[in-house]
Amino acid sequence: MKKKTQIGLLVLVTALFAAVPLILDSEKSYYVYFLFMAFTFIALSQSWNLVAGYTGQISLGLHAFFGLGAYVIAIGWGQEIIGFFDPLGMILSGLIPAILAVVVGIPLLSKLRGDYFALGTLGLGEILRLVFIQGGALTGGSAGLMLPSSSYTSMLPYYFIALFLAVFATVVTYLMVQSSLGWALKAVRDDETAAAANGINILKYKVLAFAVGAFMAGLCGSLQAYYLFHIHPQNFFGLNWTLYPILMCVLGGVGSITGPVIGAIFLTAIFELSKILLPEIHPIFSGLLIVLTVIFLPDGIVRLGWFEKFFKGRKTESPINLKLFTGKEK
Amino acid sequence: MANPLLRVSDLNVFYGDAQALWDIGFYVDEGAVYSIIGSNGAGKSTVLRALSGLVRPASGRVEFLGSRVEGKGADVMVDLGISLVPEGRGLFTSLTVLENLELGAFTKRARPKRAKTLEWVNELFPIIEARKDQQAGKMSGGEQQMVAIGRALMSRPKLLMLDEPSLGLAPLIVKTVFEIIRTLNEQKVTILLVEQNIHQALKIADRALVLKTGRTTMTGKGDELLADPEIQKAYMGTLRKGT
Repeated sequence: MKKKTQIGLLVLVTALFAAVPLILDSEKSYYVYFLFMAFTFIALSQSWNLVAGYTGQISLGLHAFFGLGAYVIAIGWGQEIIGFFDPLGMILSGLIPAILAVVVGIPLLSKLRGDYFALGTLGLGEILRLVFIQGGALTGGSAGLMLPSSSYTSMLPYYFIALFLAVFATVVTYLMVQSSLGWALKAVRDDETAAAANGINILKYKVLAFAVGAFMAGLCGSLQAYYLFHIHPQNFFGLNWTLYPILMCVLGGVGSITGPVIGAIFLTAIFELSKILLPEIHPIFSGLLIVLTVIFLPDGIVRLGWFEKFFKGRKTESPINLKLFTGKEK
Repeated sequence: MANPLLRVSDLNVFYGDAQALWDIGFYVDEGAVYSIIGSNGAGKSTVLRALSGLVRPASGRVEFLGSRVEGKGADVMVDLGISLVPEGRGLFTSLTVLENLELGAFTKRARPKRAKTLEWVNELFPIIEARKDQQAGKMSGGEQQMVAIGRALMSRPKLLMLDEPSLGLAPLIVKTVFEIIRTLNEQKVTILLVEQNIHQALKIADRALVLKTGRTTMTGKGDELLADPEIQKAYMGTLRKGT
């Protein structure tokens, strides 16, 4: 696709989604809630896509930044520093995880590679979850914090902010990977030694991608905090906030811009449907889907023959090695 | 020549507690081809990794263009003009050939000259130009090696370091690779070559160094080493005795 077509497609899809509340009653329609969740997952998937799909650093710490972003809002609101839908508060809920990503990312990314880095980030989420459980009155312990839910008036702002986050994450990822910075990220992904030998400061670019990804995840956390009004460690530091976006990326197509979007919408639909139709076995169903995806579709929907023929005209493969999940070399 | 382009003295490198190089010293004159030879695990690649800033030497001096550069990061080294073609080529396999080449000119010094350097590289490797939109990982080994060399040249190196460019290539392609090295040298690129293909590496070299388990065992002119009975016995087998 040409650049103009890509931008046109983005504007068209965004406009279509923006028009949905005109047709459906946002307060009653289940579809508005569904799209709200799908948009959040698009943003989270793009965050993982940037770090893993384009930079090759498989992170299992998305939920750490997501939860931290949520707690920034919860604590800030409780201390009356941040208000309801406070733009500054939301930016702060992105910035603090980004700063954490830099502080943690420098030692993690310089010392750990591949699966070891993944395990390191997994540890980060666990540490944060325990820290917030032990946080006393400030974090509300394992019961978490309750926010004034009477502030809720309408679903519309949630819908549009989620749509904005999805578009924001997609556009930021797109702009980053299209620039010379994106070349550096892809070079680090394909061969770290060669990237360094070509004069790319690999640590700098890895940390940068990690921090931008954390910023996006933190923003998603803050919106989810405003929506649920009850922030507790088991939910917000739950591993699902990492595993679902990974699955969405892989199913849609890692290392592509459209892949995470398609994967997030498709899988949110599947998960919501299975919640309604198979309420008891929903987690089993999600797990099964993960297994099936990595076995049969590791390159993603966007790399299916007919899809590529239609949009790109050439065959590509998933650029990252999913050995961690599949157990086999690419 | 009064001052060599690169002078290495008393270089010691460790991987953790294990010492990989002991007091390595040599110099490379501008415009020369210098070969480092030796068997598996002798430390040849480690010398290049230390010179390109991928590993930090524990001690020793590295002088490049008269100033000390040891311990600097890889990105600084490339910007100074030391470029490495890594072992196993290290292409960015998911990117196209052209993108690989353009990434070679990533440093501040090389970026403004990118278009012009690309013309030069295309002239050197017409095959690459014909395949510029192909995914680099899908090319044959010989073509990949050419892209890897081309990419290293894109940074406008004053010293081009090649780590086993003949590795895993068919004999005919190996010959082509050495012809390329010779052509590059004729175009005033100084070359530091690491090879297990000892015969070819010595034939092309002005001077060479023989490494064995991290220590220098011999240095000298390429043709002298080639004729040396010790070298012949140790590295080339007895078939060469008659020649």
